[in-house]
Amino acid sequence: MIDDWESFEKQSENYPLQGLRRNCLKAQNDFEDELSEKFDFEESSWNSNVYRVSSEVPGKSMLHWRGEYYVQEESASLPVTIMDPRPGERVLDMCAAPGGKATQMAARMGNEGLVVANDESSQRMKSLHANVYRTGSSIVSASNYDGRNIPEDEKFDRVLVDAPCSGEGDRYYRNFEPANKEESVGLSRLQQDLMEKAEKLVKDDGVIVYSTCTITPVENENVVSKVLEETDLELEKIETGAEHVRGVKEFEDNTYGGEMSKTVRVYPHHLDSGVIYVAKFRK
Amino acid sequence: MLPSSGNKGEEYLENRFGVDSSELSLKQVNGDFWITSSEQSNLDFETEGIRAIRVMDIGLKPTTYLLQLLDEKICKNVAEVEREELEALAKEDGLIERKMSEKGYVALKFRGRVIGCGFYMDELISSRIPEGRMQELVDSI
Repeated sequence: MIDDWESFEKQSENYPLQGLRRNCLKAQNDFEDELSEKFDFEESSWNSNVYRVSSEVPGKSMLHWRGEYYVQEESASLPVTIMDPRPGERVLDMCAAPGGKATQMAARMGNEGLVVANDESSQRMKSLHANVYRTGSSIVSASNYDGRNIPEDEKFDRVLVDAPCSGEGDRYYRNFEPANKEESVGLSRLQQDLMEKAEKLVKDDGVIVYSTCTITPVENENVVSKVLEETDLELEKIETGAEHVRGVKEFEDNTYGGEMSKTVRVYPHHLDSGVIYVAKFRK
Repeated sequence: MLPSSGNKGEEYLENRFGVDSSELSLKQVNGDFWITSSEQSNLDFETEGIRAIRVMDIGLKPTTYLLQLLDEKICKNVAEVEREELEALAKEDGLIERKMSEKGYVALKFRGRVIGCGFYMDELISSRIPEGRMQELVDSI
């Protein structure tokens, strides 16, 4: 399943480069000059708003304090880049806390339109509010629904389901140890429920992006495959300049099919960053 | 003199900070002014956008987050501070000396960037940036 096991294994023993995303709502023209006063950095090869820094404390600077950037793994900026929200649209981030992706949407939209940043965790809402304020993301409205219970009377141009997952790619949480199978199966059910709700919330011809930061196909291709079976959503092939491999067609005793090659997997050795899986649907 | 927008919050920002109100869209919610999406929604939100101006008994007070967002649009009542002055303002009851035209809230600027809200009176400026946030700033520079 992993394309280059040797590189993956080697990378898992190292700490990744830190990533940060320039916030166009607040960053000034001399952003890079100011950043260079504090850190050594390089621009991401595929996203000019993303920088790789070698510091262990990338949040300790006046630019961060002022909200001119958001500390975010390079791989984590991929789902919103693929979602591609436009100024004036109505978009929904179903599982938004702590707000990295919702604030990325607001920045891409130039604070024009509406970003509904929803999260079911009251505790995590605090960090969401703090990040919305710090980044000046004024079109973000924050709600606290269980994603499965969001009222369906309002439709969105684009929906992001950055789903709760077992986080196999989170080295700080589980250091690449595989998730418990029962845990993954339970999460997979929740992920499917969230996707079925997203399908009801998106406008006709709208876009839904599904993402997780885990490796197991049970929470990735398996969910996508079930969604394709049970809804009218269609997969769109993702094209990205970020190094990646395509989704897997089979895993253990399950076959997911050739459609999965439209989805992408990013492993730590691809971007010297975290794990991300992304699928893009059209209604 | 810019034309009046009819919105007290926007008028305040025009008069005090020289911000063109046509670039603003403030909504009054439970007394205070907020900068929010212009899109309507019936969902139940905890917050919508960013609190921009607090309406208090003594008058209007801009938030630090609003002034940061307005940044270069602010052309009046700006106080540029040096590092030592910033550290002084971060202290309890910290004051720095300035001569400005009239009493009221000012935009504090450091290294060319608006960092937040201050208050000017009797040739002295004090910080209105929340204490914890102010200390974080000092620690980060």
